[in-house]
Amino acid sequence: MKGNHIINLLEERPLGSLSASELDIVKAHTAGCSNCLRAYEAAQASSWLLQERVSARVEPTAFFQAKVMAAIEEQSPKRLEFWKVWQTARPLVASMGALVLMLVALLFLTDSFQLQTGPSGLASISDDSPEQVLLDQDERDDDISSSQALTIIYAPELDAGGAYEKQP
Amino acid sequence: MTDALSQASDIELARLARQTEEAFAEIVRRYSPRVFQVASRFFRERSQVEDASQETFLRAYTRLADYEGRGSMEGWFTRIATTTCLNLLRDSQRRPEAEAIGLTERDGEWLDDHLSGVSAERHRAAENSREAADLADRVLGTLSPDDRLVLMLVDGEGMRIEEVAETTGWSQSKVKVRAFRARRRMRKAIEKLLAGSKRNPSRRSASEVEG
Repeated sequence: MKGNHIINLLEERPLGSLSASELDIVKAHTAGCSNCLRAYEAAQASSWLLQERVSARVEPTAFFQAKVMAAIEEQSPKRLEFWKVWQTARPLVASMGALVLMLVALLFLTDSFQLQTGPSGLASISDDSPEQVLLDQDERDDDISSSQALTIIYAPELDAGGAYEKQP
Repeated sequence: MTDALSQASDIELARLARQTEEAFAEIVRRYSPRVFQVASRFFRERSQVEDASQETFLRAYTRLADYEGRGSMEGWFTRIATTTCLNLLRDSQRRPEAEAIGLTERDGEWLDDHLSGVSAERHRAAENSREAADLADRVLGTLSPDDRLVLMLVDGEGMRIEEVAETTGWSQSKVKVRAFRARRRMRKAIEKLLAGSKRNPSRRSASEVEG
């Protein structure tokens, strides 16, 4: 458990940030614990290697700026091409958008006009409840439903068939 | 014009760079050392560092409108560079042709020599610094890109947890936990390396006992 404590101390923070008293604890402990000694040595090596790695920096060359600008130039024609197409097509896209908006508005107005005139027109014909009005409308409707049509077409035949079956 | 650009503030430069490429060239000149510094945390080879830095500037060029001048442009570039490099490193590790340069017994012996203090003079030599950086890179190569980044920032550069969180976009808790785990993984990798060294049989036998 004591060994774990030292290892945790080594892993919680960078080795360089340990205080003098904490380092004393580590050193005192590692003097009698080979596992923690190995961990401490590895932590020291890790710290040193990281310091060396951080200090190994690559500096930009004098040509780097030109290289980046050339890469941007290379990409720019595509961007410019798109921009030109957009500039040309913009009035057309705008007029198409306006037309669509007008059509949508017209559709909305027509629908709202129908909603306003529809129920009030029916109400003027009859004073009945809406349910009754709908029923009346169905009754007034000249068109027949599919089931009604099937009944009309096949009913006599069924009667006849029934009669035929009954015959010996 | 060039003089005026070199005097311009970051926010002015960002605004001008949306109109003229000259202004963006000034941004590249101003921030390429910082972007190279960030890319150097991830890559060791000059060509890789240059490619990652170029990619960073190309991304920044397309996102100039996002820079509102609230924070420093250096911080903005640091974040873009970090994200770009992290993604490039992840992509390169995902590629099937990516070949990890393994740690050898010789690496363990070399490290053992330096830790023993026998070659203290050599330790300070530039050549050894280069070798140490190469070895560090190989050890870091055994870790995940995220572990590598957090170790380089916290343990290598001594950045504070909140700074790392801001740079990476991670929460502070995530940075702390990842740093803890990364430290453990790095330490274990080095312990294994040292245990494999023939120069120090005590370490090897201890490692064998540990199994």
